[in-house]
Amino acid sequence: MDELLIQLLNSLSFIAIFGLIGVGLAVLLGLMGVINLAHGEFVMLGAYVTWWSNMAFHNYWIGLILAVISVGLFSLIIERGLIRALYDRPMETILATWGLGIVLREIAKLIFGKSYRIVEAPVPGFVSFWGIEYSAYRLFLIVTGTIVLFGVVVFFLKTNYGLKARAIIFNKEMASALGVDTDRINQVMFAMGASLAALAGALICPIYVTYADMGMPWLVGSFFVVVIGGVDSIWGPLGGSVVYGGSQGITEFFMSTVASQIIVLLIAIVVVRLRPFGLFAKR
Amino acid sequence: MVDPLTWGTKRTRRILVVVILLAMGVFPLVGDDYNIVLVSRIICLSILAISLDLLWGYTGLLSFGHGVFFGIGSYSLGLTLKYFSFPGVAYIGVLIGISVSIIAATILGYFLFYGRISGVYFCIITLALTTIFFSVGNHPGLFHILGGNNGLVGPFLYHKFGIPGVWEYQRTMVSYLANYYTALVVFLMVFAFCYYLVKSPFGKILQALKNNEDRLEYLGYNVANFKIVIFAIACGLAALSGAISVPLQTTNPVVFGLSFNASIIIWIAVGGRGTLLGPAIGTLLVNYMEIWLSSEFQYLWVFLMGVFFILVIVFQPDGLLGLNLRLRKLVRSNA
Repeated sequence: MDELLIQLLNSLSFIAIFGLIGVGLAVLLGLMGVINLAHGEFVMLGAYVTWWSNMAFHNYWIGLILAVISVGLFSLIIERGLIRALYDRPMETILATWGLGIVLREIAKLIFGKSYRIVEAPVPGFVSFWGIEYSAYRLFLIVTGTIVLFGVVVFFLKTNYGLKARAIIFNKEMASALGVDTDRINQVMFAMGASLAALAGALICPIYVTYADMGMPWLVGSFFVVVIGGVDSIWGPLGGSVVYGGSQGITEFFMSTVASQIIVLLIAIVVVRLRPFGLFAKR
Repeated sequence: MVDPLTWGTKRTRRILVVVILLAMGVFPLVGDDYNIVLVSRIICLSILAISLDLLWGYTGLLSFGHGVFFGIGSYSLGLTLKYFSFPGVAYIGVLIGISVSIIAATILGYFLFYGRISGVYFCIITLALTTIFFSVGNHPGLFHILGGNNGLVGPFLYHKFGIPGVWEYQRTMVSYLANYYTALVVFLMVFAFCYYLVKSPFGKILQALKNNEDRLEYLGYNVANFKIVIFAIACGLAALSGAISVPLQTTNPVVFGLSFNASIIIWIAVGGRGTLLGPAIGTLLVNYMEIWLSSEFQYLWVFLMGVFFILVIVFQPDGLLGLNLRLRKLVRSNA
């Protein structure tokens, strides 16, 4: 019973991280019909910036903030320089982001080296409750992730930017005809997605090792999140990460990682067959 | 769009085809061993690129997991050779690989295409497929069968392939000539097959599907069925090229990896998609470029390949053969 509770909490931390990464991917897919294959590299950059400032200032929190801001600004440059040139060619955008991913990984290898980097947890120790001992940092991660995701939902449902973004996702031509500056919204949302990915990277670097190719597994996982949840509303990626993170956590409890991956893929394919726009779409 | 294959007069085209065929046929007699081995590998990989071009260039389905079916082909042949040894077993292995690949593609295609999976989602699902196969190939529990990270290695690979007594080849440097000509013959057969396929009424439907799927459906065609058929054909051809690759390169989980799968797409993009010839040229060009860059810039070469790929996608999305079209348009407008 205790092990099950621990596994449940592990699932929650998976869900929080996949939510943070998946939202950016899903919003971009909804707005522009494009998947960003360099999204995992934003996670990697966030982790590296955190590691670097941890070395330089011996303070994890500066690194966390620096990661979010610097990767957000960097993504603005990327959007201007690369993505915008390919707006009306979605397939080419996907391929160009793949090339971008290669370039960013190689730059990271050149700057930070090829060895694995480790960041110490800023919240050390264990917390005991309900008869179990659980890592304090993971609890912190779950809480932070939930708060930030709640903020993202409020941003989408209550602010002007969120309203315009939802209008574009609903009907791009109509929104544009009604005077919504689609380029500007796309840019803001791209930067927001990248910052969230960087935040996820900063949050996971004390748990996992940081290296140049670390983004790929997270990227693939968030694909499942997007496929399962759909991109019609902000609830899509959030619900998707609950289903994906939860099912991965639970199946890993009973069987090997490979078997649980296969089961999750089968779930995703069946979901796609039955509900092509995702489990949480209104269509 | 003008078909890049139909440039020049009929006569110049015929001469060019003869010249290219002669050059490919004579090459092993003049080239050195290293280049012959390399080019046989590239010929084998360009079969893979051409089969993906059927999907991406002609039908508009971009699969990020085409290497999975290549891997199914090579692992099937490798495993057949590992567990059985009688004359002609290689043919059975090739057939098993192709059939497994076609069946898998049909089942997957049924779920995906009847689920109306469009462009981007198709990319995502096929991407996910590669990671699954990659972890199955590396699975420690299957090490005694699949060989884990090392892939299939062992004396069984030195069995003789081909027709006993007439046309035999094996995985040794001694028989690299036979390896080369085998790859070349299969390549020419696949190329001819694909050429007639895209020129046939079926091929026209595929191109219509790429241009306007909805209209094709209004006209009463079962779009999903056509997609399943072309997906199965392309995956079968990928398995064939995977089987041909067994004597030419090590069969290991790299073929299931994301970078191998993405590099197939890079070859096609560089050569020019939707042309059949383009992917073959692109495979040759990019592979030689990688070798050159990796010897010149030990640390920077992957970075340079990435930059090159971005530049091609942004400025020349139709690839090398598209450049030819653009030049002709320029000449015509100036004349």
